[in-house]
Amino acid sequence: MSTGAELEFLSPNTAVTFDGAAPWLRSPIEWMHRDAGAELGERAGWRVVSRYGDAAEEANACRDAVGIADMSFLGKLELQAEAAVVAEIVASLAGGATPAPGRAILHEDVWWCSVTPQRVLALTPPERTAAIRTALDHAGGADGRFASVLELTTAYGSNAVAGPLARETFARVTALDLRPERFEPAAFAPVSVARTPGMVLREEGHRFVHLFGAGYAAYVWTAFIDAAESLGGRAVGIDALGAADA
Amino acid sequence: VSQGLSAFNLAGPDSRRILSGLTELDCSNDAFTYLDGKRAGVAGVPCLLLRIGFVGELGYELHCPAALAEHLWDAIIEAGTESGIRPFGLEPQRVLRLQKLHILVGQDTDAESNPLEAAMPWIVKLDKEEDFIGRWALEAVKERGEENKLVGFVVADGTVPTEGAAVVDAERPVGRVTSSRFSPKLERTIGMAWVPAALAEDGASITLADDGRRLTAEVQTAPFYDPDQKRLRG
Repeated sequence: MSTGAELEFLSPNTAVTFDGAAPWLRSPIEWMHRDAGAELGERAGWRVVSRYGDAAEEANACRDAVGIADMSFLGKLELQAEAAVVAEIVASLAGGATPAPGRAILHEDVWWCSVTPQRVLALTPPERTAAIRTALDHAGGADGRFASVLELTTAYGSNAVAGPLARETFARVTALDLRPERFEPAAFAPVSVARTPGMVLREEGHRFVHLFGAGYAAYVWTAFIDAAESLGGRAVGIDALGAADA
Repeated sequence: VSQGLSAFNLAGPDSRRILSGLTELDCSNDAFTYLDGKRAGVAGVPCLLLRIGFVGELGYELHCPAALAEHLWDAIIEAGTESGIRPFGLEPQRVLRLQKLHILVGQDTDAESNPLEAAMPWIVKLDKEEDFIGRWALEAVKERGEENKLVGFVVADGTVPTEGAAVVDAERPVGRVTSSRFSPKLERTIGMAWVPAALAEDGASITLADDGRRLTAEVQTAPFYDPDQKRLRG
């Protein structure tokens, strides 16, 4: 059984054009980005920060220091069920991989993050959120299973922290050990960050995703920008993130 | 999911007309009755709509994904321009709900309160077969009878007593003020207080001890505003 249909109003991507106006999906701190001079672009119905000004400076920050980017547009879908059911559903949607605590599975651009054996959070590109949610709903309701699927896209804020000093930035706000040998690519941890409940995913190289309660978005953004700037880093738009991977 | 949802209270006699212009949902009084809930798009935004009336007027709570809140807010404000719509904050909500004697849980009640004495006996269904948390405690209250009751009051001289001020009888504390405000609409100072059950009758006089002063107030058990619920349910 799934609760998807009853809670469809939680899904921002079910918005439709009304009276000629298409609703934009906005970050909880879009006002902060606008105040900082952000250029806003569009991605799958979301208004996203492309850059704040000089794109080269932002790319340099990601390549040489650290860049913080607002990734609120990432889809967040929570699957809860008995551990065996969760493992079965994730395997069916993630190419047969089995979730394990402390690890995330990347399959076709979707991160399957194991919070507990009974709880997995799927991080999706915004273009795929609706399809993955539908797939989870179907899988959760199949064969008399008891599973719940909750869309938490707007309940969690999400930032990318990218660059060679990303770990140093995190070190200023969390006790999580992010040394490469302890927190390998695809490592995932629910953890307190800046004294608020959060989750950290190491995607690859120097690139991390930090998830946190959306109500704390302004505070978290301020704390991370403050930490990053002390290391020569800065706020960046999503256009610059590729530089961290280069 | 609390942090993922935004919520607006669209309240006032024009709220149905404004809402109807933004949704295909039938918002008539017959189709969307008081205390009903619906799921529908409003200005294209997926919403959970609750027809409730905390402030005592016809009104709707709209819950939507936070990422779409700005769009919905702008759409509502634009649609309500002709009606003179305007944002309102918590303070007017507090005055308005007090006019209706709608309680604030945690302010007008505490861990010792029960719905029978808090003037909400209609919410207790002791005759149902199923067990429920609190049944034993409520049956015990029913058996012993009401000792204290939550009532409304009007202060004779218009002074607004401090919330938390004591209700005294022969200079002994017997209750307390839980809420108090001056109502511009009613042009009176109104409030809610816990008093001994014997004083919980319309017209009863109670004495409030507040910062060395003694204030005289009159008990009222029915809502101060729209007691017949015509505005709320209309």
